[in-house]
Amino acid sequence: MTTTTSAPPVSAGPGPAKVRAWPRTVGVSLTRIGIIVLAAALVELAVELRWATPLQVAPPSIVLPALWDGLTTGNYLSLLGTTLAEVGVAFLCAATVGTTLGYLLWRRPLFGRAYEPLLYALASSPIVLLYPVSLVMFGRTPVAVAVLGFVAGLFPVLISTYQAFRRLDDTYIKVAKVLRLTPGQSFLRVLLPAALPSVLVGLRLGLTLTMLTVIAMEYLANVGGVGAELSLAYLRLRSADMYAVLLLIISLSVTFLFLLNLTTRLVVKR
Amino acid sequence: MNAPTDGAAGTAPALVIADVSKSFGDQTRRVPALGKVSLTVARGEFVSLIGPSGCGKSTLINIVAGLIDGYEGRVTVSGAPLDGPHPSIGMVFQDDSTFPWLSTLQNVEFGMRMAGVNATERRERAMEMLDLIGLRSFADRYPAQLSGGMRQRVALARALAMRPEILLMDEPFAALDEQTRMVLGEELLRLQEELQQTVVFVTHNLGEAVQLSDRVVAMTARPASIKAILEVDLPRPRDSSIVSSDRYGELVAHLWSLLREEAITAFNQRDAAQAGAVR
Repeated sequence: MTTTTSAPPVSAGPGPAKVRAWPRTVGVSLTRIGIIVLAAALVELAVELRWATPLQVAPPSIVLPALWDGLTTGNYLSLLGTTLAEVGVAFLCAATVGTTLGYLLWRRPLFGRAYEPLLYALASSPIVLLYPVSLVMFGRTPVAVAVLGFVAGLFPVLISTYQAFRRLDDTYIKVAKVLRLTPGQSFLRVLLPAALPSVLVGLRLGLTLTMLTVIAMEYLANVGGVGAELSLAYLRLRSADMYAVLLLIISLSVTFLFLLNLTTRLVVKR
Repeated sequence: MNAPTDGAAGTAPALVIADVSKSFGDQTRRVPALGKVSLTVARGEFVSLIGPSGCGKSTLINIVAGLIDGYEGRVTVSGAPLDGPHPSIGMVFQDDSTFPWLSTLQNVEFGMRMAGVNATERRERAMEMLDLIGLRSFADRYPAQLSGGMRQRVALARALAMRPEILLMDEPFAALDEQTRMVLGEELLRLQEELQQTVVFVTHNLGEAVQLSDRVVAMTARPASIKAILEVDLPRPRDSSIVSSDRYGELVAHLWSLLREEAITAFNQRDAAQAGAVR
């Protein structure tokens, strides 16, 4: 059996008028904001209709002014500064130590193979529960919080760095050798950029865990920044303040992740 | 473009492989990968190595690239003994070796940049190479935006930009589909005519070997040694239309007659190895 095909007809004359397309990103942003506004409106309505009490769920009409007051006349900015400093120091240390150790484990395969299962076990353990140890060692100070944040962020960074180098395409190493690159050139110009996307995944996870642990420890030990404030607001039944601080914490983590995604996009152009 | 150097190096063959053999493993269990291989490649010559899978062709080309040491025998490049990766040797690999974090132009410039070639000359040579491989208009694209065939051309341009005396190609088209392979083969023939580049080309493909080469070295099953060397007397310049000539067909058939027995031996070796692994 044979089939015949013919070319599709060529349209003559002007094509359809060009309609300026609505940029997709605008649509996505509007949808995102729309859903948040809708959820807030539903909460407001629920409290208004007495489906929930203001103590259980503070309505946005109370939370937003409380947040504004906390930021302008209250101590939210100073609390935020404390938390940011703890997260910043902890993450910087976790990133530096984690990437260095991950690289060294790859360079020394015996150690890599010996420690890999242990590292995975530690990475998946609830590090935050070590907070009494940190308190005993460093007292009720921001240092104790930062140390625990560092430990929580360390393992994902270390493991992802180790895996990133382990999974490097052997061909890149061969190219570096054939082009007679020095060890320094080889590391900086080939190995590091090749491993970077996976390392960045670990850094993102490390940052998330560091932030979670820092805020959780602040909450549990009632020390430091926004986590401690959340704990106080909860214990004193200051519902509006509690939700205002929660909103602050969520905004903080969203900002962090946005910045990290932006950095990833700028660094990894591929 | 690749003018031979003056003096002794200019008259010496581009590459001499003398009694080279290689085994892997330790003292208790040595696996011979390469028997004694001797081969001389003249300047501007295109030589293909063909043999069964796993016979040791890639081991040989990796030795010449300076990527494998601890071998027996001697390799000289333009009369000088080989001691690790040589500045006169470029290489194109089977797998995609373009760097995804660099643009096409930056990929082609990479080797020159690392070697300290100044920015103006680097850009000039890279653009010249991109013209040669027909990818000038893709200079700013990243590898992820290119097809597999285009990426291999970028890898080829990166190697050629270093102006190597010898270009090693380890099954560079193996991962590509048949039509792309034919197109790139034709491209390589054109480059070879233009640059008179010395090329050592590893392939599994009988037709590709005959179409591209001045000589085809047929290798035995592992441990590889040279079984026969086929002189390809097809006229140059060639293009892909050569595959419809009678002589091409005869040469491919002859090459297969040389390799058939080796391919069966290699097949049985693999079967035995797999059975051993299962036991």
